[in-house]
Amino acid sequence: MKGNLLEIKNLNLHFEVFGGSLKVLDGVNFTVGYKEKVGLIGEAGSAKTTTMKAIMKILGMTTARISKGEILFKGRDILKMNKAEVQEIRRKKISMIFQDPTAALNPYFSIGSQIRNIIKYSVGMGKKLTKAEIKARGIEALRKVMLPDPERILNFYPIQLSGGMRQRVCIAMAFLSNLNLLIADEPGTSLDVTIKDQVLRLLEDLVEEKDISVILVSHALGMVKNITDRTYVMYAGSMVEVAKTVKLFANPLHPYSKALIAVVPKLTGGGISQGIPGYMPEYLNPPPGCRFHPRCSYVMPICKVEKPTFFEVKENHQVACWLFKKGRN
Amino acid sequence: MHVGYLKKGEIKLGKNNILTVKNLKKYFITQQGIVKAVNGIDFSIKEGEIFGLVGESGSGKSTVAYTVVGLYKPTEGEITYYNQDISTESKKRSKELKKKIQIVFQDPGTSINPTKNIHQILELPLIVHAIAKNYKDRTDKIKKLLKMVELPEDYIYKYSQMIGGGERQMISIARALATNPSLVLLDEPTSALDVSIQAKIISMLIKLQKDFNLSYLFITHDLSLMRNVASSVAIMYLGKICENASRSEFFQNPLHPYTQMLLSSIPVLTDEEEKLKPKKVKSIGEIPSPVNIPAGCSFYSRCHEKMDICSKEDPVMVEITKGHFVRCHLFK
Repeated sequence: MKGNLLEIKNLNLHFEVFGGSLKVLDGVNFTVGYKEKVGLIGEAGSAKTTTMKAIMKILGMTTARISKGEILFKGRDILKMNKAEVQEIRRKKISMIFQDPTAALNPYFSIGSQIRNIIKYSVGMGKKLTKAEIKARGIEALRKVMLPDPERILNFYPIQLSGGMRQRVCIAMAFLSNLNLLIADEPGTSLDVTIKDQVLRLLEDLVEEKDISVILVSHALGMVKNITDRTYVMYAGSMVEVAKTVKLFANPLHPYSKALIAVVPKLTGGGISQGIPGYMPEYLNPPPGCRFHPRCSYVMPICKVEKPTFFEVKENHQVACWLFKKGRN
Repeated sequence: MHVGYLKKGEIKLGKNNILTVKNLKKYFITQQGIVKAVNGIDFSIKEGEIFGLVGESGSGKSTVAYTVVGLYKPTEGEITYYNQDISTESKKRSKELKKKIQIVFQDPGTSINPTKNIHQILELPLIVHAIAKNYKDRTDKIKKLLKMVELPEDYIYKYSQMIGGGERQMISIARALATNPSLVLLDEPTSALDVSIQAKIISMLIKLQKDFNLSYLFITHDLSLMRNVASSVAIMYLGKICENASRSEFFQNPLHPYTQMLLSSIPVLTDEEEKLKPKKVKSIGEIPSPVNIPAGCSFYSRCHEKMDICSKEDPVMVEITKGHFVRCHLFK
């Protein structure tokens, strides 16, 4: 298919708070192709989750304001859609898996009733499903994520399941509808390393089977490297680098990507990096120009004044840094 | 810049064991039955050593730390600090002893009182142990502590919600170091934080360890972190230690099937790292509930090399090469 499934163009978003506005997203450009697996990495607080929530329109809309930009899903702007159309997209087109499965499942309702609701309102819309059919589909979904004894689990409450099983239930729910795009927001962060490995393998298999697009948000870089085709690096509300995943990890160009990849402890040893100097900027008063300049070791005068746009360094490798402006040197 | 720890020939370990744990058991009585959180473990930490205790959640590693620091009274077994028996709970320990063994908890958000400012938080250990006599001395000492963990002086009257998670953990570390301890128990100090802040805190901990000649019991579930930090590593599974070896031996020659499963589950970034991982060990199953531990080897249900004997008999610890202990029927 031609074009992109999802395209975010110059998205600017701020939160109205007491004492000013938090200028969080600062010109985000982000695309996901059809059947493409895209990774999104960055430190905590770099607004990765905010970007994803903006796509689903599930930000607290009382304080969040989108001042500029558009989010095109199959060529249509989600921001301009009415409530019913957005609901339709949430029901049938895009699913999201959240970081913490304990918070994503409602503790008051059994797994079965939560799954039944999803089937009733997303899969079953338009056609009438009998109770038995709904139940059969629920069991089928749980069986797909390798949960043992799905009939019994339908009667369980979230608290009766372990963290890994809860995350599997969340995955089962996400895959219930005939979706086009899956947003996995740090799906393994709250799990143990062996369970994380199992959940990710499962996710990979299901994505392969359904042949859909995926956005994998994470700060566990190894995970992103194993799964995705293309990776974005995000810092303080804008994308700083994008490249094919293999190339990005082998040869990161932006000073921030370099630092981020260097801080991961290696299995081969060689000591621990001292980390990236400084801290994330405050969004109330973000630094002018490139938001990374107070922490950057290659800082130049222009960085403090003007924000760099994406410069194409190699094919499919774009960097938002003045060091890579064409015609320099 | 990298702070390489323990390059070859640089290992400066003392001769004495600062902490020895022998056959430590800690059971909890619940309505469901007896939870055997720690079920007979032995290990020792030398002076100036960073000892890594690795395991999944539910394996009992935090219980070990809490028992050593005295939050729990051990059900059975012996904990020795130098030559002193400390197998009692905190109430029965002398103040001098409490001063020497300190702990840093996992989540700085819940281990720091949100209604107190940093001055009050760091002041408490100084008052309790009579380290500084008057208010002015204490303020000076607190400023010194903040400087030690590289936080600005004006943080002194801030509250914990006003600062970031990484900085909060730095305050926890400063609080632990306020009494000039010799053994610090680090209970997953960085697992609630992301990689770049983790790097900062770890390099700070290593620097402090060298400056003040501390010993660490480092509890974590991150093996690649241990590869870079610890001088010896022990793996825990369901309240028992499966494998215990020096760092180089442990990573070059992992023997226990569980260690191999853990190593192969780590997502890595480079090809060299990929080569180090044991091949074809897929992780299966989950850690069983510690209430009804199955008979025989507790790892039996998830093991990829299980034999008949494993379901009947619990293996005992054997020494394969010097200092490399494994508890598995494969090595008899």
